Amino acid sequence: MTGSPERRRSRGIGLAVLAGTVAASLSVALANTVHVTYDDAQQAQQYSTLLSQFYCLQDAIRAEVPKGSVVDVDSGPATQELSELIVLWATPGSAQDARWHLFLVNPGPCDGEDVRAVPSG
Amino acid sequence: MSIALAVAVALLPGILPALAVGGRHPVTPFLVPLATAAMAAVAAVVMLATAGSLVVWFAIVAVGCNVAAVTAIPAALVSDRTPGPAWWPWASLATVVAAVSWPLLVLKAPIIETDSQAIWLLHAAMISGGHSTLVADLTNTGYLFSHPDYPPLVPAVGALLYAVRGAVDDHLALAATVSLNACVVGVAATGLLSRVPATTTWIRRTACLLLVFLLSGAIYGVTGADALNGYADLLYAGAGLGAVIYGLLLPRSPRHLAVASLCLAIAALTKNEGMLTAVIVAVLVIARQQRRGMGLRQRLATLGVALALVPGAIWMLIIRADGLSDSFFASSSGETLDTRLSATVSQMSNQLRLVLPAILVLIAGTLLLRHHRSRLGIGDSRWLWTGGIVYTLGIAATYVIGSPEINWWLNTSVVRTTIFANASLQVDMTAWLLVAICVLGDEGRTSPERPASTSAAGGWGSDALSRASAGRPSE
Repeated sequence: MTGSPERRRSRGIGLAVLAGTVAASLSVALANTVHVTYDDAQQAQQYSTLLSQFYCLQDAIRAEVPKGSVVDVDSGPATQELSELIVLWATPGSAQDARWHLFLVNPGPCDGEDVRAVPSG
Repeated sequence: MSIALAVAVALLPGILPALAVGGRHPVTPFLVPLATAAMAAVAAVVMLATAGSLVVWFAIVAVGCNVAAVTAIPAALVSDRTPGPAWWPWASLATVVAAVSWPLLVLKAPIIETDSQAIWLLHAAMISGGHSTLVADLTNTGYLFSHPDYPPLVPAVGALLYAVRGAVDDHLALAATVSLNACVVGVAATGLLSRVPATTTWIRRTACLLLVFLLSGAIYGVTGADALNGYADLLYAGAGLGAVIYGLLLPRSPRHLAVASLCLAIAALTKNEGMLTAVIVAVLVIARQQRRGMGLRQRLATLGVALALVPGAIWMLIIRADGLSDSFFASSSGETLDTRLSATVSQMSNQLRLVLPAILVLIAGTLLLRHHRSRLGIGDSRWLWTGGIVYTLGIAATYVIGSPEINWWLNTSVVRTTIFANASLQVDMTAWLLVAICVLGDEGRTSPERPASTSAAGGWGSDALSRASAGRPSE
């Protein structure tokens, strides 16, 4: 390193500030990664249960509704979930077009829930 | 077919294209899944535009890309090697693999959040059903909640894995998305490590490895749980970051441009915000490449960066031709622009707290290390900052002119839409500290034989110049 002692000292302080700021900023973010990873690992079982419930309800729909049907899934808060459940099997449609009306009901065998398909009209 | 075999079969088509793009460098293994994903996305775009199934179009696209790759691989393997001792590329690769993969340990069980189920896994099922199913479902008003205009990369990879495995497997599709997230972080991290000069001592190299390990974990940190639950925001942001590093920070070279182009294609095909990122970075990359005396071939290669955006742009055109548009702009908001602007500024500035430390590091670095950074072949910070600022303004404008209730919208998304800006700040800070580690008290060993400005400003083939600067003959 070249320059006067004052210049070297200033440079050293500047580099220490730089290194400290980078290390602190990255470490705070890294700590969040550790925290999130630990939290996710704790919650993994809950998500596993949700996924198995999803597949269970999908099987139940496929047992009740013929493939390719137009289905009315307008069922309040469950509308989106029912639309996801019927994908690749049936098609969401209006009450006028649908052959079936689909509901989520409980209790049921799929972690407390089940589906019920009622012919429209 | 077992999951491991399904993943292996799905990755095979990406090996040769990744080698052609990345050459014999630590970045290449991270490019393999990304190359496969890009090909799957292109196949989905073609399938939407024409007819048939994803598997057929993927096979056609993959064969075409692999044939092209075979012709490019010899040059890619011979042209340049990572400077430094023989163990350095392996140490870089091992460190970055460890850094990006330890958070993935939670994937032993699926962690599927609402949007990943309602958007990506749902779209994966639609794509796996082939052209007719995809068009029918995307245009079905019953699926408007799933943002049918979103680009196809993430669901196309899921659908490809379903096809190889022979069954819909949400856990597998989710794991693929999270692994792609890890790969883009790996691309960014290996890019920074490639600038460690050949003459650097092993102690300094170890410090650089630790720094990049820290950076990789920190990029996960600003993403939070959304890096691991099937969301695709880290994928587009990390791909944008890869394009920034290879296109704006590393010396100009055809290989770096190729890696940047692949990253841009990934970003543009992942999310609408990814297209915004890709357009901004592509314009900057093209601007940085422009120099007097460039030959026609070089100019065409530079403009080739723009080609990376074409598949994503075609997807957007087809989607709009089908009458679909971004639901965030489907109606007008009942709130005033002032209300939306103040909420946006408040929440985004709260999320971008790294700006202050990054400015501090930028000032200290510019005063103390500017010439050293240039000598190491790391581009000027202004490129990265320009990209981050323009992107942030673009996202802020989206919030202000969009239609959803602003506080709900910000609360549910601002963590994810600021990943690119936050990670860019982290990368710039890391680059400055990397320079300090490499040169501190060791100026003589890394002194260039050419004027400082030429290495970072560079010309085509400045990789070789950087190697010469670092005291190692060009190969």
